[in-house]
Amino acid sequence: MSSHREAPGISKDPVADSTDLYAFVSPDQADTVTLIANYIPAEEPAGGPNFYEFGDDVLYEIHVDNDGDAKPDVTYQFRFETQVRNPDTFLYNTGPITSLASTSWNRTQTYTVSRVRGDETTVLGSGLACPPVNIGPRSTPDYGALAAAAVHSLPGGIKVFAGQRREGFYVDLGSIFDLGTLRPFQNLHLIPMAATDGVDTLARLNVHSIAIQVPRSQLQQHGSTPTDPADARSVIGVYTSASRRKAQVRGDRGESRVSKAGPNVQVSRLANPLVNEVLIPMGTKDFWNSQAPYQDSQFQSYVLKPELAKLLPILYPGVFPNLAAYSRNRDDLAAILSTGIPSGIIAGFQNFSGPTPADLLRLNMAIPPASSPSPLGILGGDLAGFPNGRRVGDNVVAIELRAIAGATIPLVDPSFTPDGAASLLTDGTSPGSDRYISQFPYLGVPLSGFDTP
Amino acid sequence: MSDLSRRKFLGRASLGAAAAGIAAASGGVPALFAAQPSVLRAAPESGPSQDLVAMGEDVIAHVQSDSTGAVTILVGNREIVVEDRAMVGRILASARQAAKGA
Repeated sequence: MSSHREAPGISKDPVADSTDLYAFVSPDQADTVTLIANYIPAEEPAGGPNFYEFGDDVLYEIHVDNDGDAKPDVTYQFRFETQVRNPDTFLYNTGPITSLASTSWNRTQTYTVSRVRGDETTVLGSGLACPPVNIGPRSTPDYGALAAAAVHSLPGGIKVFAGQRREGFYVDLGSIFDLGTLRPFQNLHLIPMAATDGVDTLARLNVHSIAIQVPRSQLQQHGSTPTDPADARSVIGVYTSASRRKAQVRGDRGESRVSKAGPNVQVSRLANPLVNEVLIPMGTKDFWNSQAPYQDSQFQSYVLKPELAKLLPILYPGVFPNLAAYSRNRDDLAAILSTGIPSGIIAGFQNFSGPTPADLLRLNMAIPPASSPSPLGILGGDLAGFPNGRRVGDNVVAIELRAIAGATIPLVDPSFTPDGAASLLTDGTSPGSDRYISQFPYLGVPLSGFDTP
Repeated sequence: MSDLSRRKFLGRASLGAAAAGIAAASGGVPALFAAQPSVLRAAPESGPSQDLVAMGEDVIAHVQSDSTGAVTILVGNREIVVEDRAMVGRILASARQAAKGA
């Protein structure tokens, strides 16, 4: 998946497992940028009796680099706290939850948002309520209103939301990890079968989202609103991380006796989709998760010589002869994923943030939202989409498949002619019409357990 | 391509990637972003002015090396390494007793 269960270690720690990161100029509030970090992969909507929630013992962060050194200049920290009103019932709720203050809601979660700039930490909000999960028509009868009430306005024109949403990422997981099968092209696979449509594995699942909408000027390095797409100061690089305390000693009486001490240690990080998932080899994935983006030069060989690009011509015999013959470093992928795309390659666009290779989701904040977004982003002629940041509906699987298959090599090497299939690749999935909403937090209302058996 | 040669190719591709990973990992890791723990050459004398444990602070010690006498001490959000062979010797003596079931 995008980054769901992407490394052996973190796959066993779901509340700290980042799944997707989005960064885009808000389509309905173009003076702001929306950052969304998703955690807890593949939530079955019917999650009772102990429904999904954020980890009280996890430090969740969204980092923004705005001066091109791949190190955070602005960090938003999210810390959660769970409250249990009545420990003597096994129930999450003892009646309908009709508001965030409902006394029949037995297990609630609140959070604190802080902003770190250099040595200065500012608490932006505390005691902020998460919504309940979407249980069903009796327990959460007006879920949309509950979730809307959990969008909090903070000083400085900031909005935040933290809670369950519908999974926005779409992918045919069942086929892709069955020896790289793309169902629409599986008639051409090494082990052929009749071509079919793709199957979206995540279509009926939820996720937990941490979303923050911030005026663009608060992310720009000099505090001004970006207006010039050619200006390097219009570009930010974003990543999310989850950290846990270095040591934990279990007591003999359950969770209340657990002792924790030491600094926070990063156990998960995410910027561009599919980087750790597809490019980084298994034995290195959890180490990659522990590192900071500015240290990514040690992983650059996996970007410049991706294993998947070697496998595609084998898995689809005769389909990718030009890719198979290409032996140069993949400087196109390095530009897209590691440094940003410099000026002069795509007319009217750049999101170059300096030569330091770092996995960051780079957003040129001076590019306005598209009136008719293309899910293929820049490959579809839409400069407001991935890899210029990432919107919730961008088809990052198709974009990255095509890029790895060679469709983007001519951006840096005009002598290369992509194979005909490169610009057609897809896993055959699409998000459907009800996956997203048009306002913050943009990811759709989560599916209810009752209605999603 | 025969099935056999395809399998060989897939095997080589995987091995090549694994070898590259090992080479990258052994090529030197840059300094961690987080500050490295400070090091004390010897544990201070006892007699703290405040009882940290009574104040609710969790204190956890991790013996890293009996040869250097290095102990990592974690308290609050802080981490410090103390190199004190005598202290480590006493801890390990207790550990040996525990291992014997004493």
